[in-house]
Amino acid sequence: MVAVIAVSAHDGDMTQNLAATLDPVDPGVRAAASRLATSIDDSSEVGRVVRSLLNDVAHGERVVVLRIDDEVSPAEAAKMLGVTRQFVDRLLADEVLACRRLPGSRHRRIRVQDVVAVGAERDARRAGHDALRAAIENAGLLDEA
Amino acid sequence: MAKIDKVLIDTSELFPFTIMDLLLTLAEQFVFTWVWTDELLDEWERAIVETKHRTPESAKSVTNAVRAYSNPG
Repeated sequence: MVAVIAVSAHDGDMTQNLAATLDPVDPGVRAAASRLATSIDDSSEVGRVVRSLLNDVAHGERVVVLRIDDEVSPAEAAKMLGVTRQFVDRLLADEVLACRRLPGSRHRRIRVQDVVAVGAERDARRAGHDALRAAIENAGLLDEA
Repeated sequence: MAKIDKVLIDTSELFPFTIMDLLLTLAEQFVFTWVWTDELLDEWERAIVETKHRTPESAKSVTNAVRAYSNPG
């Protein structure tokens, strides 16, 4: 299983660390991605994902492809989730996110799988809570005390 | 600071909704998970029908939304 995470081009330690050889700032990289995208057979889900990924590169987006069992630093996890590093620190302290210490080091590593799971859980909670807020409003129970 | 793991939603949280709205936001930030029981939701439905004169269906639509995605206590 592969997690595909697009990170926008304007900043990013993670993108530089993991995708330095495919920098879409280079017009040659963008042109090659564009050519490849048009020749991809998109009759399958895999083809559509790969084409969409190549189109992002063609439009100058830095794209990072991570294996689900890869590990990232807390700062990289924060970038993937679109939250602050401090937020990730709290998730680790509260054991919402698991991590391991690198041997003989204070540095922590988080499995990409766990980061993706937390992102999905957050989306699910938001969607569920929005449904409850809508139900309360539809029942006319929002403002009346 | 001690970690709060689960918050039990009592009937007074679902209405008025102000506190509940805050609890939902905190749960979205993974501060805690909120839980409920069937007894509490049934009691809330009865109270809303009797005191707020909502239809049973209207009350049910809210508790259904609670049951749809959150965790039984």
